Amino acid sequence: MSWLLGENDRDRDTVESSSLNRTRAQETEGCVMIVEDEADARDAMVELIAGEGFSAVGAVHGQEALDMLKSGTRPALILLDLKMPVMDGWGFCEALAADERLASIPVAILTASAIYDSLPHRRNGAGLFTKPVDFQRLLALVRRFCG
Amino acid sequence: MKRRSLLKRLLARPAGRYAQVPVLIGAAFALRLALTPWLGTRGGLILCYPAVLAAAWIGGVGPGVFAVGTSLLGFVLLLRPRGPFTVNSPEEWFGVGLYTITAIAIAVAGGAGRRARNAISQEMERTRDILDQMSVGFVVVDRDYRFVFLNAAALAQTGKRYEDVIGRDARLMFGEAREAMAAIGGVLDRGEAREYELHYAPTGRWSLQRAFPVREGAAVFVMDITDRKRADAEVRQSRAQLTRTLEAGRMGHWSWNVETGDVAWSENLEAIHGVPSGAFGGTFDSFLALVHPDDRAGIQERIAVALREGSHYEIEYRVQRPDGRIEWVAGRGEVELRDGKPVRMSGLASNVTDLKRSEGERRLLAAIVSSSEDAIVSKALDGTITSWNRAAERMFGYTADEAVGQSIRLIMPPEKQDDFLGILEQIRRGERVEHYETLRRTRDGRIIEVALTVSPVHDETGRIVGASKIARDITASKAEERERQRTRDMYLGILGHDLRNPLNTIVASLYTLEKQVPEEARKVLPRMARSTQRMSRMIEQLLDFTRARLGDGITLNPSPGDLRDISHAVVEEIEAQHPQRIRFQADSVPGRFDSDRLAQAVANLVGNALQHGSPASSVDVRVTSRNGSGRLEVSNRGTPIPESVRATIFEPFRRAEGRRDSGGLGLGLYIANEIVRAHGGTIRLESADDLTTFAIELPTAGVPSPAQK
Repeated sequence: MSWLLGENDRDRDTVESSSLNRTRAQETEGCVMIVEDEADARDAMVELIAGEGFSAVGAVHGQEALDMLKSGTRPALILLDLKMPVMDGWGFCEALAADERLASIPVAILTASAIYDSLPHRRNGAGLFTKPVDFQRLLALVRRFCG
Repeated sequence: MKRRSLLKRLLARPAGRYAQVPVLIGAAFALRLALTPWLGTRGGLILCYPAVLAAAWIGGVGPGVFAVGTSLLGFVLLLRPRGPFTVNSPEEWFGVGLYTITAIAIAVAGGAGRRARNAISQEMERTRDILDQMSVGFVVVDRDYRFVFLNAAALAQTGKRYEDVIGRDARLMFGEAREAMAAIGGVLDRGEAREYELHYAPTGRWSLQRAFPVREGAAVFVMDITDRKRADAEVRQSRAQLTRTLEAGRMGHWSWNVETGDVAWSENLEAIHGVPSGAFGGTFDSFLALVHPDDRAGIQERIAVALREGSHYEIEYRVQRPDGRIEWVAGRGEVELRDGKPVRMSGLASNVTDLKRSEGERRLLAAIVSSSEDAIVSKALDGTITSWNRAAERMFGYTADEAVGQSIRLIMPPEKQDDFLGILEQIRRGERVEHYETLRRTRDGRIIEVALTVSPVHDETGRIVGASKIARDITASKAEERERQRTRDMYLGILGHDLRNPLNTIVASLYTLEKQVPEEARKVLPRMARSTQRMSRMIEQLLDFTRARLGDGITLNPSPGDLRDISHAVVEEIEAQHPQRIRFQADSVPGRFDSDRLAQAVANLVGNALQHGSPASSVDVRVTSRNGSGRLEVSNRGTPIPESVRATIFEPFRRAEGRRDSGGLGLGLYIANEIVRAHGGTIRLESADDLTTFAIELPTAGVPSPAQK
């Protein structure tokens, strides 16, 4: 129980550090961009990838990710959630494909939904991960693009 | 009959009566002259006596006296001067004088005789004339059966001429009239009078005859009754015809004499009332006794009204048959008035039980239709509404009066005005339209959802003349269904997304933790990870199950692929966790598949084999290609699957007995089966000794139709 509490405490800390991370990422060249609206999920992923020694940056939704890309952030890989407010994964993929400078960035889709027939048209598809994600496979992918 | 000779006719005239005289006298003189050798020359007038008598007998007194004069003149002027007769002496003249007186006396007497004879003959003529005038035939025969007399009517009856009959033996001429001959025989032998009817075959006529004795022998009155007989036959025939007609119509005739109370029934009326033939009492009360007690008062009242008003009477009543059956009888009649008073009622009655019964059935059906919760509407082939039940009134808001006769377009929504044309086309072909869901418009403009069942309506000859439609308002149930669908989608959403996201966060965090927690706490983490994966698998399976069972089935997203590559990827992935346990051997099987789904099915089978197979043996995965289809086998050795389990092994939530810790929900095989079925393939369990094989057969041509089960 105390372990669980400790976990929770850490979790709260991560939320705070995550925002710090993001601010940092705006200046630096991030290796992996994580587009995910749910804070806990986003932060857990950012920490996981950071823990492996890669730089990671989070975006709350597609629009924020697009804004960050347009303002110079160049990730080697984008991990994209599909269901998000403001701009969802489908919209983001279309916007990405429409921009010549960004269209070449590989995108891996992370989805909790198993409804495959409505997947966005993927350019430079880096794979499809169903949540809960097989993180060994995911980390292998990250290593491939960022290593 | 009135046949007289020319002579007789001549003599009937005055001139004729006198003209005979010179002939007679001449003849008398000629004969006397011829007899002279024997009679001598005296008595020359002797033969004039009979001549005078004859002239008087034939012509009367006048011609008689004329004959006397003629004979005297002839004798004196012709015979005396020329001889041989001489009249010279006074005695001789005295002789002539005596002759004169005697001959006049003879002439007078002869004339009287003639008069008497004529009187009798005229009397007879008159009688004969009278008899001839009679329409009744009259015949007299003598004791030898010879015809003595027949009047005109009798002759007409025989069809023969008078001359051919008179004096002839009746037995020889009319032997066929046996009754008549027998009766005449009776009259002649015993003096008995007899009356009888006779049909005389040769003429085909009927007569009523009466034979009685007369002085000559026997007389017979003959009355022609042919017409009466014919009329009688016609009456009998038309009566029989009436009876037959009544029987054919299962009707009986009745007649009630109001004054005497007598009731006359035709025979079949007794049958109609269930009374044995001849057993009906013949009175109004005996009729009433046959009527069901509850209907008696009604009958009496109707009759009273009919009698009072002299009006038509019509009633239906029940009859309790001896066997207990209740039958319905309909009676109708008219009152016959005399001087404004009812004297007789008569009419017809018939058994209407069948009619009543079918009327009852019709009423029952009508009641069912009327009380139905579903709208029942019938229409002609041109779409004209022909009936409209109460539920239709409630459902669409139009009353039957408003709807019947209108086009069915009345309840068609504006955008579906011609919706019914297609349905009617189907009906014309004799087809039924079942559970057709569509929209209709009510009177107040609401659009309601209805489920229709439309059937053709046939007439007696089997021709399709219209359609009957049963409509159920499914607006409410449709809304319910939509609500259910929404709940299900929400449930699927929770399973598919909302549960998996936090799980993902936990797993990601576990990975992060692994690097940070102290060594001694680190063994906890894989346990947590395994449990999380298990939970994730269960969610996956529940989601698949829910979609397969409650949703629209497993949705496929097929693309070109190879069954070998798909299964190879699965085997590689699993082998990482179970080294050395899987043997893989595959031919290329290109086709259109949903790779992710098929991989899931293969993974389920392989996982199943690893879990249930003997740990010491390996699991074999073999992919082979056969014309047009691919076959994938997953086999393991170990305890065979019990016979009792095999039949239901592909059903959901089946788990091997006593293996609750297997880590799944018992949906693996079910989902594998659903995925294979969605691909148009089959999955089979083959069990031999300790070898258990699951075999998938897949068509390579492609999924039957995209995004379908």
